[in-house]
Amino acid sequence: YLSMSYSRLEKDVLKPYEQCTQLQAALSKIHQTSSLLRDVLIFMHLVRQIAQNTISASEKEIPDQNLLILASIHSQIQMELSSNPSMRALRLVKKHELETVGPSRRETLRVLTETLLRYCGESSNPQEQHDTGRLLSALYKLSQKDFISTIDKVVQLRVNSSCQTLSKTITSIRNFPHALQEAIVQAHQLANVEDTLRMTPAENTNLLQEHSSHKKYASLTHIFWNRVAKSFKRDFEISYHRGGPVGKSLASNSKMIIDSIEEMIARESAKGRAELEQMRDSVSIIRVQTTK
Amino acid sequence: MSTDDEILEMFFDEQFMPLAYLDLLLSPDGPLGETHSMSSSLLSRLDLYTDRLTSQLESTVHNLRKPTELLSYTGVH
Repeated sequence: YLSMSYSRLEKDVLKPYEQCTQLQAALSKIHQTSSLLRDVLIFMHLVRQIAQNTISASEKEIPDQNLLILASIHSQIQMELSSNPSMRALRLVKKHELETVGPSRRETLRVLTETLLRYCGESSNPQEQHDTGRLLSALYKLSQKDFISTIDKVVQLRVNSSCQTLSKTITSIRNFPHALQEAIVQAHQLANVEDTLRMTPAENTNLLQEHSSHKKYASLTHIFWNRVAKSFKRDFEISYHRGGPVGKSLASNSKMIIDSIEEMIARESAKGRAELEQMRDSVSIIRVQTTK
Repeated sequence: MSTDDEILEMFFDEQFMPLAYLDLLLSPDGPLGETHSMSSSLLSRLDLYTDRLTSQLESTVHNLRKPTELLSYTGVH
């Protein structure tokens, strides 16, 4: 009776139990295989799309539309690879990452950055600002680091050109009002960039907040005037102290210099006014002399 | 369990490593288009296996329940 019962246990319980374990193990291996395979399939699909959207080397510029598509493909690839890091262990993935994805991503970043440096702030037209916003948003998604450095560059290029124009007027101070006016135009263009960044959503906020969270100042125009005023102050004071015909001319034109700064501050809107006021400090040395 | 299917057999091998298997299967040198279509037909095959094994597992579990009831019944007496 006991042996009979045992053979039934063997047949009805132990065997099926063992079978269950085997089936479960096999199912788990199939599952692992298919989920990895599914991710590789998406990866391959995206890699093929890179080729379809890459413009032949004979054409000099990638149109904005293709640039946006490429940027989106690369952000998807990044997400895909970071969600399943074991994919990178596959030779197929390694090869295409090295030969196709990497070079194309670098090229996309390069062209995106160059395009933005060219367009950024030049227009206050809503449609063009919207287009620039899409490029900025694509760059932000692709590389936050490159986004921050591109905006910094947009600011710095305008700072450099304004500093140069203003510094030149020290030896021909009659041109100072004109040069200041040019710097104000640059600041207004940066205000356009700020508007575009503010209008472009990113995660829970907008691109302007994303940028300023890495910076001391919340406003690009504030950074602009801060740097321009500092640089001009330094050059102005050196020439003033050196004296000679240049220093004398600065002293004798001090009223004109101060008046033109005040005049332009008065002409600005409320926000621009507060920031342009930083220029007052750049000529504080003659202000002291005049009020004496 | 169908023993005629070599690919299915593979998954019952304790030594089977999904990553190593796919690395061998997905050649980095072939045309990407071919690798892509081969992969997608393998994927649908794996879906089929999953369905097949899942229903086998269900029926086995179902069969296991019956004698357990019987055993616990005889245990009481």
